[in-house]
Amino acid sequence: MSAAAQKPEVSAAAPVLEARGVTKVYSVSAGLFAAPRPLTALAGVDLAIRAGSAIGLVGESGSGKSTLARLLLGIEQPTGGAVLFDGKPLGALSRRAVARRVQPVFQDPFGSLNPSHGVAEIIGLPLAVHRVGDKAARVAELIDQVGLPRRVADARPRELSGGQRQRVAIARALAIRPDVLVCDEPTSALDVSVQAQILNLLADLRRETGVALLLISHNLSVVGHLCERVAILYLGRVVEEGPAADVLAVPRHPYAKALAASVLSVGGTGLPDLGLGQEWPNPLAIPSGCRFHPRCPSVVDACRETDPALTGVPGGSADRHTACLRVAEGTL
Amino acid sequence: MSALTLLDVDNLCVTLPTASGPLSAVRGVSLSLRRGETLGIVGESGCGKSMTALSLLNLLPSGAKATMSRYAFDGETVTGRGKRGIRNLRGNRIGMIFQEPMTALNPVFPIGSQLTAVYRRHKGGSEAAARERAVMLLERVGISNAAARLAQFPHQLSGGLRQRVMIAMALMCEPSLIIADEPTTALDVTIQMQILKLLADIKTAFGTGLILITHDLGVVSHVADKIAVMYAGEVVETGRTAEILAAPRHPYTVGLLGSLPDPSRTAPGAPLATIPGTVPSLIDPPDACAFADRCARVLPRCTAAAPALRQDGPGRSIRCVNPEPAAWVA
Repeated sequence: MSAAAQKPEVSAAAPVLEARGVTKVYSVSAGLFAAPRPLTALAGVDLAIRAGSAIGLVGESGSGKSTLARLLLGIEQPTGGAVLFDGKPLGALSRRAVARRVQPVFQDPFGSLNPSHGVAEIIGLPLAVHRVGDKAARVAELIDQVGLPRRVADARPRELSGGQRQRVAIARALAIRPDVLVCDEPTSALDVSVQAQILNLLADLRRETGVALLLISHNLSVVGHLCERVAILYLGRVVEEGPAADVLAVPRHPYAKALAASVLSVGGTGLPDLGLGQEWPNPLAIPSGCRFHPRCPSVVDACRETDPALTGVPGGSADRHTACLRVAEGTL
Repeated sequence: MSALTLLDVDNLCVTLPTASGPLSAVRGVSLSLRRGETLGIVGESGCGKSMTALSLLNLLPSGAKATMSRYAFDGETVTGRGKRGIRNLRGNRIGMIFQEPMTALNPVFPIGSQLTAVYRRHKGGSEAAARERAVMLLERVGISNAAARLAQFPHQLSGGLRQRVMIAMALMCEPSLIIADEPTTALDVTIQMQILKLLADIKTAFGTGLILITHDLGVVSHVADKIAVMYAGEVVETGRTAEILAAPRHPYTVGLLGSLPDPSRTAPGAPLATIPGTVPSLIDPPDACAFADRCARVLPRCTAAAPALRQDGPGRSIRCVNPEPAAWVA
């Protein structure tokens, strides 16, 4: 393997939140009398979120992106590997200590807001739980910061529009000044004109508060707009990772290429052939060798046997990595 | 009306009962579609695009009322629910595809009997002939081992497979028109691409007309020949997709396109254009342009009377008295 294939250290800034070789295996019922089967949701994932940065995590159903989010939030523990906060294992911190530093924003704001509480109460709850600051003043400040009118302070979630509810969820997540926001499909349930408002808000908040973002999305355009780095997950593995603009403009891994080709942008016509065939990814039956090989249009025999590691891209920038044998050997 | 016209609907209105009074969900929508043509109906939540589709199929929720001054399918007027009416068209000459296949597939029957029941209800014939057709169509939509799949229940299939089964079901009776309401919204992007290609192949192979209802302007750009942009129950701009998307004229269309993140067009992190304000209540719709409150180009006459949909160049119409200048190009 060439020198360029070794994973270099690219940034002096230490990651604030990091997954290191993280594996997560669930036990899935296979029927009433059958023994449970293991489901490997994540198989050795590295992901580093640096202070103040925005990284996008892209993948399809079953790729493990939401599992990774739960591990990074400390809601679940990894089966193998470690999640580190400021270099310390997350498992050594209490749930409350983790929650002070890492906060979630979910896809469906209606499902994540208590319907019987008023907006001010919802936003202020984390302040009460963690006993920080002057609650009333901070709530008023947050309502302004996320662009909600002051008059909604007493409203219930059902009286708000979808966009306003997502603003409430973001205000609540920001209340205790976390270092990282983990946003799982924060705009997927919203109309495009409202999505634009929420994306603008997240960009503004990042500038104003320095909070780091992990943006989990299936929408590459959203990730490309908001994030400087992107990692692409496929069946529990990162298959490509690097600067978002590079990865989206010139994807190298065949799966990343297929994802980029699937973006239907306005002004385009016709439908490209992705060459992925009719196989569907199934986390209960992970293929041998490269886990993408049954769908890969560039597959060679070696791919069926050798599981490729995430390595540097020959001829690519130093902070760009893929897990593809053919890219590594320079034939793709 | 030319002999090529497949669907011709004029002045469709739908009202829904609500606790606060009747809500005018669709307010005077007219549509026409030729054989083999694809019309994309786009708009945001509550704009009336799904209600428009459901009323063409007489599948509106109970209590909802639809009226139209003309409904002609393949040159014949559709009247009522009877033999000459919608029940004979639905599932037969008009196929339907919904966002969530589980709402259309019966969970307690194997997919085979559901596919053959549609066919035998409309076309008659033997169970064996219907099964043969079902297997052929399942293969056509890319389902391997189709004969064995007939015995499977919907829950045994993945989301992408269920969507394919629903497409096969929509095709059982060789429809002339398919109405697809957000057919790929719940699917992963690579599977979305495969489903859209499949619909495009079917359209080419059978000359089927397609009405595609979606919130996704990118999908419409790649798939639809014509586009109708809906806002607050009305069509506000319609015409050939490429022309409308390259040079939108209605301020709402302009606003929608501007709000899309597109790394090839907008700088990363740069603020996206947004549309201020909210959609007006359709319980008591304004007797004015419905978009006036949110419009940067509003004039006094926009709030004085509701603008009519007027011709705006060949094959193009707009509901706006002060549109973006025609030279404006994205």
